[in-house]
Amino acid sequence: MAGYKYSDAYKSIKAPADLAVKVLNRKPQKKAFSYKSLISIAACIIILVSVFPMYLSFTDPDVNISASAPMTARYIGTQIPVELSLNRRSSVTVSNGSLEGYNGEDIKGSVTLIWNINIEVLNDCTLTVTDDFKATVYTLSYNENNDSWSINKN
Amino acid sequence: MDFQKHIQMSLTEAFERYSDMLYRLALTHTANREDAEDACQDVFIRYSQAKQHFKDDEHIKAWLIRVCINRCHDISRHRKIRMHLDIDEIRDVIADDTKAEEYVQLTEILADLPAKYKDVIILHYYEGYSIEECTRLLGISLSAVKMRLMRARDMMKEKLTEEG
Repeated sequence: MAGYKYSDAYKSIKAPADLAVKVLNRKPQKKAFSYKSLISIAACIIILVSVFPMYLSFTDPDVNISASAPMTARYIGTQIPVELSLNRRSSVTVSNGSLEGYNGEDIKGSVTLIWNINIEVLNDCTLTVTDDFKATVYTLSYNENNDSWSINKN
Repeated sequence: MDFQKHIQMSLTEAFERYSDMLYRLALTHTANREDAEDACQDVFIRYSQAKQHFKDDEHIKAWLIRVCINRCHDISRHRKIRMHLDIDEIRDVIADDTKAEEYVQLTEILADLPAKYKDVIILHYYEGYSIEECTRLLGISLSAVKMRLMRARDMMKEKLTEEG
């Protein structure tokens, strides 16, 4: 092998002195964000931004008849306190009667509204909570057996 | 239960032991001082950051060689022009003038070889690794190492014949 004659020359190569300085005196560097990391973070943000509204659209506002709701006969229970727990800014509308203490603007958080219903048309009492993602409809019903009101999501 | 024994070697110790070997490997591969220094620097930085468990000194040496060869390949891929070493460039890394001249000749002979052929020639003929060891270092089969060695030798012979 012709190349063998260069073996001694090859073996006599020594690393330059400044290499030791560069390697051994190198200050430990804080690992910078690599391009890949940035892309991964950006991808995560995009996924979160796109998935979060989907998550929100699956979560319904919490709507309950207040514990202080009239549990007496339907004739005197025309004012139904409705407790709403809204995790997003929402507007509330009713198909029957009106909401006392509500001016029609978007509301958020825990709110108790008085629902004044017209007891003549009890077969159509729905309350609709509408936000940027969805409208959730609840139906108010009266149970004559135990003389109580209940509200259920459609 | 069989627990694998791991060893640790400080960066300083690894540098003292293997810097010459890695530098000549990188210099012969790249035929450029700056590239060789960059490659070596990078190899030791990676070693200092490596989370790998090493079984023994030979494992560390093999790991360093593999990383160095890969780094040299990266450098070669991005380089558009053929590199030449000048004897004046290497006076501080090779003391003897005759040997320096011979070394420049060697880099000239190897310069036109594809990187994969340089690997086997350097490891087998100059670093003294057996063909079997080359298979492990390069992650290729025995027949591939033999084939590369044969082709590299032919190319080198041709080159030497051309130059008379």
